[in-house]
Amino acid sequence: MKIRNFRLLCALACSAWAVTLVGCNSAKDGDATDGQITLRLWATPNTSKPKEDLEKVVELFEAKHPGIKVQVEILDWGAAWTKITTAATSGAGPDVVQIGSSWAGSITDIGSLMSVSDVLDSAKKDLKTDSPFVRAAYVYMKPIYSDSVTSLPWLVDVRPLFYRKDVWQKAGVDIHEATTSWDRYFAALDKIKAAGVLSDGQKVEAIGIAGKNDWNVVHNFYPWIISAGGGVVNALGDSVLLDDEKSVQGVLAYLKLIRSGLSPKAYLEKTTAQVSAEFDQGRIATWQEASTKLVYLERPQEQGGAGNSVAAKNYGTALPPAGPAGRKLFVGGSQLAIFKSTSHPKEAKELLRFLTTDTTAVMRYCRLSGMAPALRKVFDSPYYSSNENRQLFKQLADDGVPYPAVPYWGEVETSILNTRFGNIIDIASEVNGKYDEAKVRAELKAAANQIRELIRDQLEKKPQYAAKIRAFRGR
Amino acid sequence: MAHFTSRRNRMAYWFLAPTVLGMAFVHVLPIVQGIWLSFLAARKSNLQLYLDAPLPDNGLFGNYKDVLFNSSSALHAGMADAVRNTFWYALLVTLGTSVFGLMGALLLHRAFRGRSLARTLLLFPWVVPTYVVGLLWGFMWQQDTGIVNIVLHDWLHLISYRPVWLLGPNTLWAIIIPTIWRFWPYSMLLLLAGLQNIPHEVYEAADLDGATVWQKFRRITMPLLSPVWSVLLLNGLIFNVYSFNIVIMMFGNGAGFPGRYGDLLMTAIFRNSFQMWDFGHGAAMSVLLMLGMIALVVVWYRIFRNDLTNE
Repeated sequence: MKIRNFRLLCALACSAWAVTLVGCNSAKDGDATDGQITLRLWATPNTSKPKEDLEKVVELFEAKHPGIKVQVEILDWGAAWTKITTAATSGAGPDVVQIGSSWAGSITDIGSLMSVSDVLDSAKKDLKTDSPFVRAAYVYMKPIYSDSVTSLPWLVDVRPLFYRKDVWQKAGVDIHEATTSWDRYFAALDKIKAAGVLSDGQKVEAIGIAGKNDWNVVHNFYPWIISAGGGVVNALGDSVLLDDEKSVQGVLAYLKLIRSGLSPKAYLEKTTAQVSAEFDQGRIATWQEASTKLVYLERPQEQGGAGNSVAAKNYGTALPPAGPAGRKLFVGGSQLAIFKSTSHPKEAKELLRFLTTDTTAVMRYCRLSGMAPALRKVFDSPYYSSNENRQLFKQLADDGVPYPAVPYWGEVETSILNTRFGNIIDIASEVNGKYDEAKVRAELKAAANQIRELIRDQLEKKPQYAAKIRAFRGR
Repeated sequence: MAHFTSRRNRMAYWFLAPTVLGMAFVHVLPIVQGIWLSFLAARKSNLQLYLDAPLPDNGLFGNYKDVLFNSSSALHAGMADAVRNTFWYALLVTLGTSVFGLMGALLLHRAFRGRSLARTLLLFPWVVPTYVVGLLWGFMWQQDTGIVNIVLHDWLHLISYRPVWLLGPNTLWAIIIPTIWRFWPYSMLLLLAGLQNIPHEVYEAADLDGATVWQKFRRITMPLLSPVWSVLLLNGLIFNVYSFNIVIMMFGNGAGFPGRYGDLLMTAIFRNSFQMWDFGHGAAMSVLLMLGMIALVVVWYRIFRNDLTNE
């Protein structure tokens, strides 16, 4: 009997403790006893010290809004998609969240992002312009199937060519002239290869192309496809273009960089970071990477940069090559959005507006991260307009062609294109038999058919999508 | 006496109850939920519905049909490659860890100076986390700068060219070898324990009968290690079929594609369904895999039943 009572007592004690804990936890997020509001901001690592650097920007906001405290939480890029979509589904997310631009369509489709059309309207008034942001960003702000603006653009991922001035000079070619067409570009790279330039006693490769073990695979193929006049899908995301002859020619042109030995096949085993390190060490003459590379090359080694590297002493930036359909580039980046579950919509909108449209805040964060600003006005700053390596960022952003902001882009990119382009890289590497163009075409055809099936499935499942597309066409 | 046994057992049940409940919570419930999900069109666009998601348009078994027969399904498209790779991977890794484990166990079973140190050093790979193994070997396999080619080609001159390991058919070896390296110490430990349980008198009797070293190994050591082999085989096959970390880390930390010769069932399922929040298809594929593994366990049990039950 005593034992039974003891058990009962233990159970009651445990229950009371658990209830107390639950009670403690049930205080509403963001409420504070001193009347100050706390906003939670989720961001991905955009700098080498992501939390500290973002807090440097956020403190500007807090200084202007003494009643609001912003709690910055950094999500690793690898886990961000899962955490954000989980938060979107469960309603237990932060107030403001950074999302990858190409995720905007998918996350909007879940239905948990608040409309921020009013924030955009007031920003337009304040900034006295109808288009405060770079053109490409508008696609992600209001995804095709959304009735309202669900995010505002913050940072833009533009990708200039980084080149070794000394190597291009020794080969007797001008990169700005060479990038006016694909033919000239290939001819120039051939010249660099033929020149056999040595740097610190080591051979310099004409260009570096990273392989398939990387999240950039699709972003690397994409500019070549659209510059050839092709595409993956059309702007409305309801028709597949990937197996069109123009798209195929774009892919074949990209593969030519590998097949003609302009980029060593050994690089196909490497990630972007690994090939980027090869450029730093002086083994590559031409390399395309996100604008963050510039900050990395400028920063001294003691601060985690490559400022003392061989490349850092003699590099420049240039626009990527123009194809038969012109110079069309990949442009990604990040948006900021507000979860509907926020308890402080007014304050969250204030923060969103500040981070995306306050020139000082945007400028400060872009300087820290190396990303280009989505806010056009910031490009007028001497930091961009007077710096020879940054001058072209604005044009890169303007020439950028965004992926269609459809809810199923994630599946298209991660599941279908990543796999098929990976297979194509294997074919080009010739590790499993001689290169055969027919095999490349077959992979593109298979990818196109998979995407067609996916779109058909999506439009059938959600008739409202089809209705939206009809409405777009009607306009 | 019976009353005493019953009371004693009752106490044992009390002690066992939390474990049973815990196991039910972390094993049975997720399995039931997974099977339930495999019949639903649970995907990103209806995440809020989760277990209340509607049935697939193509019927109750729609997800299974897609995975098995729909050629435009991303999961189906790479499935043949993933099944083939997983088969060879699981088989060769299990075989490799067993063979190297046996060699290590036989070595450590002998008395020699520094045996304790050798045992500790040989266990070293086992303490390295699998994701670190994947990451490190990813660097080691690099054609131009990787230590593997430097040793094989530059130092030992065993090969006349530097192979590409992380592209094409060699990819399978690039994932098998690190996995064997990581897990063989575990097999060694179990086999060493098995060897130490074989009575010395058996070997003495064989010596009196004039048995050779090979005969003793074949007729005494191997048969008496059967229970250990059975556990190693089952554990190895199950663990390797569900292998994920090494491959995912070696090929772009989850962002890349291991290629037609490196993609395993787990990485394929993760990339093509769960990473896309397509729970229905992912669950269907996982259930099919689970059924396959259950069949494997049944076969295993029939083969090793006597070894497991005999004293």
